[in-house]
Amino acid sequence: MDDQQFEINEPAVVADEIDGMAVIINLETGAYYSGSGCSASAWAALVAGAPTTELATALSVPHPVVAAFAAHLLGEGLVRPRSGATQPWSVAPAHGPLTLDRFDDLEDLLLLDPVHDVTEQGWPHREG
Amino acid sequence: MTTRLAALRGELEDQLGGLGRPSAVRSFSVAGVGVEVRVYGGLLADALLPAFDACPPLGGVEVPSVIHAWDHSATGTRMPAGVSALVRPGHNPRYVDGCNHLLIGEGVCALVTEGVQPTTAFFVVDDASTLPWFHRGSPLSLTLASVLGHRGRPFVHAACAGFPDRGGLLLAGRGGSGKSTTALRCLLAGWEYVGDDYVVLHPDDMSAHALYSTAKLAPLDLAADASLVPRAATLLPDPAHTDKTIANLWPAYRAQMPQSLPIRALVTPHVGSGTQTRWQRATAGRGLLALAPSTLIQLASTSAAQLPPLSRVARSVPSYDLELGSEPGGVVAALGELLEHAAS
Repeated sequence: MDDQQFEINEPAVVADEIDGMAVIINLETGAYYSGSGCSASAWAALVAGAPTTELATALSVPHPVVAAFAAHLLGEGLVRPRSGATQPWSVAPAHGPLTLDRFDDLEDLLLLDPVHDVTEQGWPHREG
Repeated sequence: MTTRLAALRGELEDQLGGLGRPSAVRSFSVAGVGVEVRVYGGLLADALLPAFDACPPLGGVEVPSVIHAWDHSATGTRMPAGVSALVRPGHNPRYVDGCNHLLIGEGVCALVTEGVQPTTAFFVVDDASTLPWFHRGSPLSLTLASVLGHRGRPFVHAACAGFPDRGGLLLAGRGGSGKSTTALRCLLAGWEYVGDDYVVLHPDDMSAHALYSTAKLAPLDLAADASLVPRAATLLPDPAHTDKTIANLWPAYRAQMPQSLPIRALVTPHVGSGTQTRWQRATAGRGLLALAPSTLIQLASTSAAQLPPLSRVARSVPSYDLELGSEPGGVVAALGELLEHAAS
């Protein structure tokens, strides 16, 4: 994956960083995630728009590792390619693998169906 | 453009116009927000309203948000065709067109129109006699979550119990984690009880407010420990013969049912394998991980704005892990120690 920039996939995904832990919730799938240390730092920086190459340098990890982490986030639907301006970002010194724990235990709660936005083409069709 | 949801609202308003006078009206205040529930159909009123018995009546001059609820079987109406076409078996779809939010469950639909004060909502069911237990134990939960959340009073999927002088423990976790049974054990041991499944958060003073006066009793818990039945409470009728017993704690336990308690700790219970109940400090992140996903997913959140209030709880009070042991007497004692620790 070449140098890329991302943003959080709102409104389907909400997240917060607290006490060194990133808590990420996909409201469409019911899956939620947590990551600590290096993963929490990388998450915060990536959704602020940090280019993957610069983030790799800042974290002192090889770029392919950061790129694979970003690709995983993209595959889980947690981020999307960035369309807006980059926000200020920085990373605190942190250690550990770039991984997120995924939890699926709430998926059966509501058998969630994605939110369908109403368009002029009819209903229910997702807005493109 | 008139959206499909706006058209659906028009259909529901037309139905409402033909219903005449409501069978029952209940006006109450929750965390300072006024709510009025107008129910058309006696059986539906019996199903929905007892759970609000402990809510204080409306005070002041605030115009309440209004929820109109009716039962097609009793009123001779039918679910609008626009809803029937959107039922997805095995799913609870949500549809949003900006200000209108539609939630569809089995035989139930709720339409909340936000952005206009006071908020107006519709809750319609096919047949009140077949309403599942959770609509009796925590009635109108998705509708009220939307109405109250819009007024800055987020619903929280958590139990709360404590004392007026020491504050309360917010017990967070998914269904089956033990929060309801734990809250009930606290009540029966003399603690004050705010709720066993949902409470309303007042972010200004970080307090948990009561909404439902009910307690849910799972058959497995009752089989294991018959003393869990709050003997003085009224058991709500369950025509649908679903798998949980709902007890209305009001007015039998009114002396132990405050309108609110300040939150002193965020506790994540889980059922352990040993006999003893143990607790330990946890990070704020673990507390948020127990509180936020369960709340936002169960309540079908569609807004990023609903996470920050939950984060503020996790940042403001200490978090704890609670491993529930099989020895019932140890649970409340351990929680008492935990509350002391949190207050120290």
